[in-house]
Amino acid sequence: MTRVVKTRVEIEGRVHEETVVVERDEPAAWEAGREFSQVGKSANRVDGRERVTGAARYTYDMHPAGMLYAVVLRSPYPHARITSLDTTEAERLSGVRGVLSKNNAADISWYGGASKLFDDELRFAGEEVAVVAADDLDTAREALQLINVEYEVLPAVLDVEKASAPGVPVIHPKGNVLRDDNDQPGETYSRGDVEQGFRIADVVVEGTYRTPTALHNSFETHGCVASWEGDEVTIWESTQYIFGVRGRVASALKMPESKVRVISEYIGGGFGSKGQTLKHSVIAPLLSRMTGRPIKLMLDRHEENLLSGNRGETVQKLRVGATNDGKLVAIELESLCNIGAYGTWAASVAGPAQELYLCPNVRTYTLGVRTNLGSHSAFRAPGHVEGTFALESAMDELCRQLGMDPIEFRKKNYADEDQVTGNPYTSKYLLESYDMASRLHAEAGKPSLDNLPPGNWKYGVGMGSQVWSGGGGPPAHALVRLNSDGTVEVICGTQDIGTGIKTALSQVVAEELGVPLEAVRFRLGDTQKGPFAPASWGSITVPSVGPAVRVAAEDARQQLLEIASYFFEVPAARLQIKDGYMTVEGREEGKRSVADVLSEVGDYMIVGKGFRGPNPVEPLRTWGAQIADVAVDLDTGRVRVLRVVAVHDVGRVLNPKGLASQFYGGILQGIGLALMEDRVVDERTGLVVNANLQDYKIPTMSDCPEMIVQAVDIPDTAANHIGSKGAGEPPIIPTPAAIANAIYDAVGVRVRSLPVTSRRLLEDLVASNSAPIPAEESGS
Amino acid sequence: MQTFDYVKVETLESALSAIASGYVVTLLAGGTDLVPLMKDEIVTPRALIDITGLEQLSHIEERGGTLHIGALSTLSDLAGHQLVTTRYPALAQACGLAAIPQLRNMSTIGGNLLQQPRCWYYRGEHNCWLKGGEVCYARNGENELHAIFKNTPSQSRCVSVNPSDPAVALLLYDAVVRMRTPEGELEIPVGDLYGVPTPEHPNGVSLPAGALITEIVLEPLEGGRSVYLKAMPRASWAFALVSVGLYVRMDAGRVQEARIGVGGVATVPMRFPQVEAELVGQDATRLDADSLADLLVEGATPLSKNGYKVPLLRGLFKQALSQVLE
Repeated sequence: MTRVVKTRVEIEGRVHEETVVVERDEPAAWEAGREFSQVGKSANRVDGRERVTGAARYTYDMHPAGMLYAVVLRSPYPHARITSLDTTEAERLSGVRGVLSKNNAADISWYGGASKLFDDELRFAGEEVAVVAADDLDTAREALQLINVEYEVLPAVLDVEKASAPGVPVIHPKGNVLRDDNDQPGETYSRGDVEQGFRIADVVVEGTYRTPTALHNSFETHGCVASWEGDEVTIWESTQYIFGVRGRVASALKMPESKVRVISEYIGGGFGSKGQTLKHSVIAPLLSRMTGRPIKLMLDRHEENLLSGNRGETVQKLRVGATNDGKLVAIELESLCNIGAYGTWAASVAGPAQELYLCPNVRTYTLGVRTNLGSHSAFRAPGHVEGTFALESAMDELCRQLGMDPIEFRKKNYADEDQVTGNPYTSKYLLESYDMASRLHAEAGKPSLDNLPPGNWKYGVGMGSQVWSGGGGPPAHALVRLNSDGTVEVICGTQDIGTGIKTALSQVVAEELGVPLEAVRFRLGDTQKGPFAPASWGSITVPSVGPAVRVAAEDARQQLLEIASYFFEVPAARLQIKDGYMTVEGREEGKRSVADVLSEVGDYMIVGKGFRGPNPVEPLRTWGAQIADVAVDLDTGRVRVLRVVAVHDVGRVLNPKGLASQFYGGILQGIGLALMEDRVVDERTGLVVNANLQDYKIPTMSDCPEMIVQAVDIPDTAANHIGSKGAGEPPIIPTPAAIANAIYDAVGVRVRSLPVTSRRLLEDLVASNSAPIPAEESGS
Repeated sequence: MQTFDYVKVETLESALSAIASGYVVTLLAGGTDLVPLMKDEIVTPRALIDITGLEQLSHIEERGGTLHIGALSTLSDLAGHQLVTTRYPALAQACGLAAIPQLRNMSTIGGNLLQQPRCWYYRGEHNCWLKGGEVCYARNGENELHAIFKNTPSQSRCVSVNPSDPAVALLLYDAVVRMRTPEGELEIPVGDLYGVPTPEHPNGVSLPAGALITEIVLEPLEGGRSVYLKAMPRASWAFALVSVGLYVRMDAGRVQEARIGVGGVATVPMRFPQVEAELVGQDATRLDADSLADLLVEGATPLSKNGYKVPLLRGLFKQALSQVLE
């Protein structure tokens, strides 16, 4: 039955071929309109109580006996070379148990060979120089001050627009820009004839759009606790990818993967930056082996914001053209992406330009640029949020010049199939998203401006739409254990980064087995227990792991039916399981609980095995539309988002309540990017001045608007057999664009740079000579 | 954090004698500024005297028409106290707009007036002039949150802004700060409390040796209306980009008295006597808010990235004016 197949998997705009083990035939897809007992019903988080009562143990809570604390000495310069390093004084300090640096650490290659775990050359302020392990944090910190380092300060490159200019110092072995497989700078995509497109265009809009470097600021910072037993090491780690950490640590320490155990049961937020394995995950086991004691190495907020990843700034030159009847005829986009010192890929800024609209002539060019700043990483729909801001701002401008309604325009330029591959999509309900969002927005009426602080408020409305992947794929595996007491355990090597995956996938298992949700316990986040599951990124967990747990539950269910058939004295096919009870089809009498039936066979544990099958050939996309209502105070440049209506096509909804949380969080993070988030770097010193939560502003509850969220909720039966697509990233994508377009509607200023702070808006208002206010009058 | 001695005092006298001991001490009240500064080792006190037990310093009461506010009154106390909300609403508003409830519950008015600059260079890794370094990095650097008045090199080496909201309101009401010193009682008008920030006194406040602020005193007002408005980079939990306090007393439709306090624009909270004088005598229904706003921002010397504070101050002032004249 077991066979090996190759299949196409796409994650965050990157496609690769995966070789996967298919254990048997997959079940038929849950058809549209099917009646469910668990799926599609709102459920509270199955681990909500342990999280809010403090019973949940996060990485930071781990405290194995004899544990030491480690802190890191970091480069104070954006670009420097260590000319001498002396740690002897630090080592002599009472309470210090070990110091690791380039003087005594093995050569461990890092950043794809561009650097080492401890390197002589330091390419951003915050890069690791040495690490001290001591009895307590204060001693460790004091010891850092006793390490004598001499640096040769090297010229730094900080400006993404100047990094590839002639004469600029080269800061990376592979040069200052990313090159493709043919050693050409940047990534180019083209279809049709863009010049011809612009020749026939009646209306052309062009502009340079900028998005800031944004910091993730997960509540829990990165970090780990490492402890050895014999030749095996256990690492408690706040990660989105336990198997990724396992692989990286095993290769760095040259040991078998099976001897590295990574545990991540609870995670205080992960928005992409915890998908990578940072140096601390290797340093802690090394220090632990060196000192013979467990080591805790957690980043503080400042470190977190210097080096754990970010949404790199972009500069996008965008030009779009349409004919007078509202048909898009050309899109041209040239983007620079700041990938920091060691980025190895550029975010998919061009994705929306290539796919969101029907357009025969498209050319995009994306160039990843290295700078002497912390490396970028994935951050909730990396690239697409930035690209959508530019594209949807330009579309709004185009609509205004054409005198067309923004939704009418979008429907007119609707792409029924994927223009990049020429294939139809597995499903596309963007038209439905437009219509539902319009209807919900109209039904809600104009939001009140009464609760705003005093001001000269102008009201405006704007929209944005969204395309993103979110299909996932194999490999993903799970076990479902049915105990003789009727309880169910799901064992899976996935992780719940706060998205509520434990709850949604428990619902899938309860559904398939016919047991109540309370009977299911989901055990995850441990490489030594769960079979492999992929990283929790790219909105892939539900569509990748969901089908695997369903198959495992189905396998367990089939075994249960076969066992029960002996006791019910009917064929297994005639038995039913509902709410934890078994009956013969069509009969109420003789009803027995699952536990009761299983008690007949003693301590027998049913073990069901599940896998994720291959992907369809068709590309899978998530879709959505958002409409934002804002108020802008003309006197002070303040912007308040009053309401956001969000409708997304993410396939079948497993847990409406959990999904709403994802939508709320995405929208709020989108508001942050639109209005306030911006990493600030001093140009002369190359140091980040706001790497803390005091100066780096994220939205507070007071910034939170009314949010009306809805999923289209039509299953994508071609995508996988549970019909669900991913939902973690789509809701952040259109928010900044919708807000920027609403600001234009309110005050007539087209803001092409994010975030739209008071400063930016007042500067633009002054530049546009206090701009004529659009016809519609404010409600204030 | 560096090690330090800690003493908790129960009486004012023991506090004063500890201060007068000649040992360098730092007072700990709410700790919302001091403790983070100590954790970052920007201040490294040798000894802390915890004065939170001095119950006689947390009063808010009226004596003969004068309002006495104990130095240990919290911002929450002030924001909600009926005597403050009715008589000195700009002070209540300023306290209520500061920080977030958790911080307002801890932070005292005395400590708030003495907090250190919030400049990100001073608080961060840069060894700026205020920390004993060579240069003010903000002057030609990331200065969007910095001063637009009194900021020329001859006026001040440091271009940070005084971060206190209540200070602006207290300045508006001509409040007086009372303190005990080894030499006895001392009174300093809030307007005289702040000077140019120096490495010795980064907050610009140089109290006499051994001084302990005991209370803040507000004289009664002859009617009038007042308001405090604050522009922030988000809806809550931020220091002011610019704030405006305004007090106006009218009679028969004409302005009899006007006071303007402005925060977020200079190393000190500022009054604008020239604009105040211009307002007096004006007919409320006919006054030209735009030209008053122009006069207010006249003389502003914005830095490279904070020119927006000029229109922001104009706008906020006009909004304050329309509210008190409403």
